[in-house]
Amino acid sequence: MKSSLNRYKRVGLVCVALGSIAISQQSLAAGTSSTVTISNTATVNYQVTGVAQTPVNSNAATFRVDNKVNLTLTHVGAAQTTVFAGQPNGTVAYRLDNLGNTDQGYSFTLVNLGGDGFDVTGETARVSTQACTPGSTTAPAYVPGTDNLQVVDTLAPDTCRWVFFVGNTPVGTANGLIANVTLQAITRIAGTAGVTLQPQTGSGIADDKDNVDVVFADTGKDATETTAGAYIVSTAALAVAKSSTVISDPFNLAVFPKAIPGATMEYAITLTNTGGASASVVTISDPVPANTTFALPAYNGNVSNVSIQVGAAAPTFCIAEVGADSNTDGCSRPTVLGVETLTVGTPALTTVNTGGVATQVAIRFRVTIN
Amino acid sequence: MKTGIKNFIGAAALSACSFGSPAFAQTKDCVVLKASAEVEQEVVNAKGEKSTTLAPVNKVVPGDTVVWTITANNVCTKPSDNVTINNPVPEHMAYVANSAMGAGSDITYSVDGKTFGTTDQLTVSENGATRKARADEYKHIRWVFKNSLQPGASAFARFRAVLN
Repeated sequence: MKSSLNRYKRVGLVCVALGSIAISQQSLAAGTSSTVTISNTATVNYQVTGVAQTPVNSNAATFRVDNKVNLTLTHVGAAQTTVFAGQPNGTVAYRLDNLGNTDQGYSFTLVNLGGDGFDVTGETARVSTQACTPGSTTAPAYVPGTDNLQVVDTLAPDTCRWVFFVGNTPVGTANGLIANVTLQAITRIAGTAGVTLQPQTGSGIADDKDNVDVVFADTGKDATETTAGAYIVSTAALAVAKSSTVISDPFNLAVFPKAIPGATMEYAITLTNTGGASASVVTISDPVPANTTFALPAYNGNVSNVSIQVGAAAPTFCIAEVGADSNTDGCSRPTVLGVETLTVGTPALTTVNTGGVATQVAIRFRVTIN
Repeated sequence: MKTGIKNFIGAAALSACSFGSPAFAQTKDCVVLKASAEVEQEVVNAKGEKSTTLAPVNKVVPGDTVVWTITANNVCTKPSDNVTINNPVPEHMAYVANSAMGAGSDITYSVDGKTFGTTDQLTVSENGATRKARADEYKHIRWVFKNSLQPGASAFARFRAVLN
């Protein structure tokens, strides 16, 4: 009797069932990975006429976690990317996030919107090779030649990629014009080089809890996201003006001098940049006015014959010698098409900064009237 | 007489075990337990009136709520007494507060699988302090039915859980 009770106890232990154990997978912020089987088994304990019975397990009720497709495409950085007229590879940066629970691929569609100031040309999508941290709003720079891929082959849940809308700004695009664009990310099946569209499991397919269905859970429930971006042109806008003043004449000297033969005239060429970007590598060429002769040096202690002043700063000077620029100071008077031409460039004159009159460059030289 | 009673108890205990070895008579379990997974669906009838029904699970993604139903059916000719259903909350799922139900039962929960208590009694320790356990931290649910389950009758237990 004792032995039979012992035998019952042993068998009783074997009969007690443990709770079911589903396939172990790390839980993600994006949720449990698709294909994981969720399983539930209950156990009942009971007595019959006061005697505890062997516990009974239920069936294992199971289903597989389905593919929840969800993504965001976030524009990062300045609202408008600043470019200069003629600039190649201007970029608008985006962060693509896979918020679903399954690896996915992505392809991109680019649109230059109409009804705005200009369109960029040669637009393409480029995926950065730099690491992306979810939530980051600081995109790396686009590296032409390195960031070559135009699709994302595989992006894991809860991870992101930096994607660039890359386009060229046409030469001559005026300062201040805006190009509005959109970038669209389209979900693809992972591992297909961004080629195969990710279809949603239709309602026409027979319900099967053990099948891994695809459910579009993104905004618009279409497995795509479209986000706007823009470029704005900030380029130099140079205005060139020329004025003259009579400095002195042989009779009145400097008191109300007149423009008569023998008089000394001072010409001022002003370069004013009202654009958004500085103008660089600037060279001016000004034929010496007819019937005049370049005057002897009158600036910088009568050493220099050209004065260059930026805004109200103290002027700098150069010597424009006849012919080639033998002293390589950037100023010379070569003969161009038979006419003696004052040329002022690097290093005497290089840049005209933005700022209008405050940064205006004034180039002064003197001639005597023949 | 004393020996006879012992024998009777021994024989009754052995016959109740479903893992019968060849030396003992095979007897069936008196309670058959079934578990099912369903989702709530909103149904709109021809008049535009909305109601909810339960449909079998099909497309379940993280964030979805699943309704688990356990049915205990007495298939014997004697009543089943002290019926207790235990259900560990499935892995990857979080119990939905106040969703456990079972007519005629007292429901308790456990965080560690050993200590069972009501929602007010369960605690967890976090950073050295003790606080009330949250519903999503419950790992087991237990229904203790107060009345015997009569032959042919069924008892139901149900709870909801969200897929992580």
